[in-house]
Amino acid sequence: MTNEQYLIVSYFCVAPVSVGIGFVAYLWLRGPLRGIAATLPWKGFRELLVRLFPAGILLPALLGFLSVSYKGCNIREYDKIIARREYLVSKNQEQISASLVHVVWAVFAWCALIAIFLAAKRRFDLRDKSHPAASE
Amino acid sequence: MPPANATHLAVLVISIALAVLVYLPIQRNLGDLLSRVVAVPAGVVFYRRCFLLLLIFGVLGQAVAAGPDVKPGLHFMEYVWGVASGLGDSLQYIFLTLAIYLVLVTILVAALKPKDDK
Repeated sequence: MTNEQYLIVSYFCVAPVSVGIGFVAYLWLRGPLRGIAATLPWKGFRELLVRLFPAGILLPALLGFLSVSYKGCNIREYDKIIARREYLVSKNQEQISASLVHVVWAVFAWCALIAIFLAAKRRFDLRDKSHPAASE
Repeated sequence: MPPANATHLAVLVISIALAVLVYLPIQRNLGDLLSRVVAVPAGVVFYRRCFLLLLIFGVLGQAVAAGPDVKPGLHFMEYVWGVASGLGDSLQYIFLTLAIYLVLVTILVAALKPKDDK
């Protein structure tokens, strides 16, 4: 296999792997997130949260893959890019790593978002207990 | 298997083992704390799963990208240094994750204020 063939094959193989990384994270967290959403008192918001979650995990994974450029500081021409197999392999590793790291930051963001929702829910529940008529 | 690949694989496996070793001793206490603070069972599961995912994905991300720079024909100790260097990056990431997660849990405790502090 020539380096150019390797570049084409690896690029189109690593792309689904990167999305797969996001999909694994999505499947792992989908159940508990739906459980949390079910406890939130605002119906429309609940559905919005559940529908946004896949995009909020899968898109960062894809973004991580896309954020890696084959054109470096000294290597800008196509011929130089495909000259060394090690360079292509290192770029594939970088793409997978970037996907993992982007998913990590997305999960951190979701953790913070859920914390805000839980705090808002707690306030809503307390207000509901002290002024039952206000929520009706 | 070429020594460079073996070294890379060793870094990957040991990094994941380290992440699991960090998670296992604190998972029960973390669960207890979260169940008192969050008070939503799905929330407890969510934060525990997030923590494990952050550790494993993070160390994998570090280990995949920063593979040890070793070439065939080196001395044994040079491979060991390669593994040690890779593990250093993974441990750095684990420490960073622990710090950020601790801040997150602290904010959660401060915002949700568990009632039974006895």
